[in-house]
Amino acid sequence: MKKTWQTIVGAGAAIAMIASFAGCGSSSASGKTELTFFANNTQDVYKPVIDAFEKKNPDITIKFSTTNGAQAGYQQTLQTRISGGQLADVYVAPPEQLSDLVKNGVAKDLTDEPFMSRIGDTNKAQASVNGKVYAMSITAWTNAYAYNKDLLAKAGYDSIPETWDEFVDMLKALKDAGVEKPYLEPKAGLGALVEGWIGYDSSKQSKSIDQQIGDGDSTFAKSYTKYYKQWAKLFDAGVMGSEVTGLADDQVRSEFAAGRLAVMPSGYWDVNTFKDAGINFAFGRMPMLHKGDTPYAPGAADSGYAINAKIDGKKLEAAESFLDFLSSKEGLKLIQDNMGLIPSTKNYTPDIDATFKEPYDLYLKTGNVYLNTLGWPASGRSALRAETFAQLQQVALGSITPAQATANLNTKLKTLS
Amino acid sequence: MTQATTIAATPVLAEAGVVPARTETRSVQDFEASHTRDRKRRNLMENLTSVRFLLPLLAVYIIIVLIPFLQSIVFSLTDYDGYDFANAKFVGLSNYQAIFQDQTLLAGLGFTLLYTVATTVLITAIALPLAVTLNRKFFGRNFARSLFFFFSVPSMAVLGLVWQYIFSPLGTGAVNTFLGKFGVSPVPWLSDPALAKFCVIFIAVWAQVGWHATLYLAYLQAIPADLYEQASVDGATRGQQFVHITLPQMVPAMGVSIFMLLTGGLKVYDLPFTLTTGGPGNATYTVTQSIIVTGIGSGRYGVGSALGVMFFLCCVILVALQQIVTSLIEKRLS
Repeated sequence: MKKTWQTIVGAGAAIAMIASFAGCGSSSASGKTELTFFANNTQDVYKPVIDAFEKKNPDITIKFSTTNGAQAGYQQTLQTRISGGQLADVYVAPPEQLSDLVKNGVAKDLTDEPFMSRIGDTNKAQASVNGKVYAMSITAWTNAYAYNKDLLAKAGYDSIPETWDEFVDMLKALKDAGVEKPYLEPKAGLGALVEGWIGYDSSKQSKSIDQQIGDGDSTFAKSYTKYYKQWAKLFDAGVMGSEVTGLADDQVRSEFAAGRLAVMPSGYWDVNTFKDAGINFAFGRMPMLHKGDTPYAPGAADSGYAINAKIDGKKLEAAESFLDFLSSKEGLKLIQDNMGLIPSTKNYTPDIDATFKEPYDLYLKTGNVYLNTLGWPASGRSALRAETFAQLQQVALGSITPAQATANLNTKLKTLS
Repeated sequence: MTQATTIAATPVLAEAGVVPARTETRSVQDFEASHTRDRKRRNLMENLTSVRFLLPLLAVYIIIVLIPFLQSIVFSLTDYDGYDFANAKFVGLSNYQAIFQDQTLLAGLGFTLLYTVATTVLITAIALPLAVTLNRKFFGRNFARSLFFFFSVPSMAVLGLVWQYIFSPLGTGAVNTFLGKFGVSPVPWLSDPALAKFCVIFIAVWAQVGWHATLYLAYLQAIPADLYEQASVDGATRGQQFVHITLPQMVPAMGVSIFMLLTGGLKVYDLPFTLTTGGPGNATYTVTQSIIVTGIGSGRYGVGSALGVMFFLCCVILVALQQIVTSLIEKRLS
C-alpha cells in the first residue's frame, strides 16, 4: 500500500510538472468570437484602441499579448510562436520578416480587402511580396534632429542648416559659445543620418545602394566609405566625443530634456517627453551632403497588421473587422494619440504637433525616407545592423578608420550569406 | 575473513560429529545467499523509491534540457529558419564552419572567458573571507547578512540598466559627478573598451558576492565548533585556524560555488547586454549574445544551434575539469 502511494505521488508530481508546461492552451469566451492579437507595443497603449473596437463590436473580444524587449525581441517571439503553432489571429508583421511569413503561409493576402483602399502606395510597397500586399501598414516614422532653440540662439542660429558642413560649423560655433554638449548620438544609433544621404543617392538609381550590396553588385567598402568619412568629421572637428560609444538612447534623451544638449537625432515619439521637460525646442531637417540635395531622412512605413492565413469563418470576419477599424479615422486617431505614431493613410490627415511640422513636410508628406536594412538579405539583417553600430563605435574610439569599418562590414555580410 | 573461517571450521565440526558436514555447509551458504538476496532486494526497492521521487525532476530535465539539446544538434546540421522545420535542408557541417569565420563571435569568446575567470576568482576571493566575517558575532550581524544577500535579488538586466546611469561617461553620471567634486575630469567608464570590461566585471562581482558568501556561511555553520576550541587550546592563531580548519572544510562549498560561477559566467548575457550592448565596439560582446543576435535573432536557427552545441561542449569540458580539480583537492585534504 505504502509503495503504491509512493508510486502515485511520484507519477502524479511528474504529470503535474508536464501538465504545467502544456497549460498554455487557448480558451474562448462563450457566446463571443475571441480574436487573439499579438503586437510589438505595450498593452496600456493598445487598450484604448481595443476598448473602442470591442464597444463597436460587442460580439468580438480581443485577447491581447505582447513581448518584452525591442523590435528584435518581438521578431524572435513571433518566429518562436509560428514554429510552435501558436501564432495569433492578428499580429504585427515586421517588414524584415514579411517574406518569410509569406513563404511559410502564415500571412493572408490582403490586396483586395476593401480597407486596403485607404492605404498609401509607400506603405503598401513595403508590405508587398511579389506584387501582393500581406500587411496593412497605416503609420510611418522618420528621424529628425531635435534642437534646443535657446542653446542654438547662443551661437546665432535659429534652425538646423541645410548642409552637413554648415551643420558641423554650427556645432563648432555652439561649442565656442560655451555649449558643452552641442551634439550627441546614442551608441545604437550612430551615423543615423548617413541613411538619409544614401537614400538620396539611391533615389537617383534604379536600384537602391543597399539593394546593390545585398545582391552582390556592390560592397560596403565601395558604397559606404565616403558617407562614413563625412560622419567622422564630427570627431575630427571635436564637436562629438568618443563618450557616445557608452550612451544609450535614454541617456542622450535625458541630456536633451535637461536642456544641456543642443541637438540630437530623434523622432515624433519624443514630442511629449520634451514638452513635459519644459524646454524650448523644435524638430528640424537632417542636413544633406550638398546644397540642393533633396532632403531625405532615415525612416520607413511602420510594421503592418497581418491576418493569420490559417484562420477562417467567424474568426476571419472578426480579424477583417479589426483591421477595418484600425484603418478607420477613429482607429487612426486613437493610434496617433496613444502610441505617438503618425498615420499615413489616404483617408486621414493627422494633426501634427507644431514642433514637428518641418520634418513631417520634408520627409513623410513626400515619402523621402530610407531604411538601409530593407535592402539587405532578410536573413541576418538585425545582426548586420548591430554590426554597423559596433563598427562606427570603433571609428568613434579612433581604433579603426571608416574604410576599415566598411571592410569589416563586408566580412560580416559574407558570414551571414 | 568470517566466510573463510566458517568454511575451514565446517569439516572439523563434521569430523567431531557435532553437525553433519554437508548439511551445515549448505545451510550456512543458503543463509548467506538469502541474506545477500534480501539486501540486494532492499537496495533495489530503496533505489526504485528514490527514482519515483526523482521522476518529476527527471521529467523537467528531459523536457527542458535533453530534448532541446538533441533538437539543437539536429537544427545545427540544417538551414532551419525558425518557421517550419519541414522546409529545412540538410547542410552538413557548414554551420560549424561559418562560426569560426565570424570575427564578432571570436571577440565574444575572448570577453566571455575573461568575464568567467575574473568573476570566479574575484567572487571566491571576496566571498570566503566575507562569510567568515559574517559568521562572527557583532552588532547588526543579521542586517549585514541581509544587506549583502540583497545585492543578488534584482535581476542582472535591471542592474545593468541602473548602473549605466551610475557609470555614465558623461560628467552628469553618478560616479563622475562624485569624482567631479574632487576636480577629476569625467572618466569614460562605459566608452573605453578596458574600462567597460572592468565595469561589467565589477558589477557582476558586486551583485553576486553576497549570494556566494551566504552559501559559504551555510557550510561554515556546519563546521564543528570543538575543532576551533581545540586549535585555540593548542595556541593556533585565527589565521592558522582559517588556513588549517576553515579552508579544508570549505572545499566542498567552494566546489559548488565555483561550479555555479563557471556555468553562470560562460552563459552571461543579460548584464553586458543591458549595460553596454556588447560595446564599445565588441569589447564586452559575449558568446550568448552572438548566439541570440547572429543566430536566433536573425532567423538563422541552424547557425545559432551550431553555436549553442559548440558552446555546450566547451562548457562541459571546462566544468568537468573544474570537477576533477575540486575532487583531487578534496581527496588530498581529507
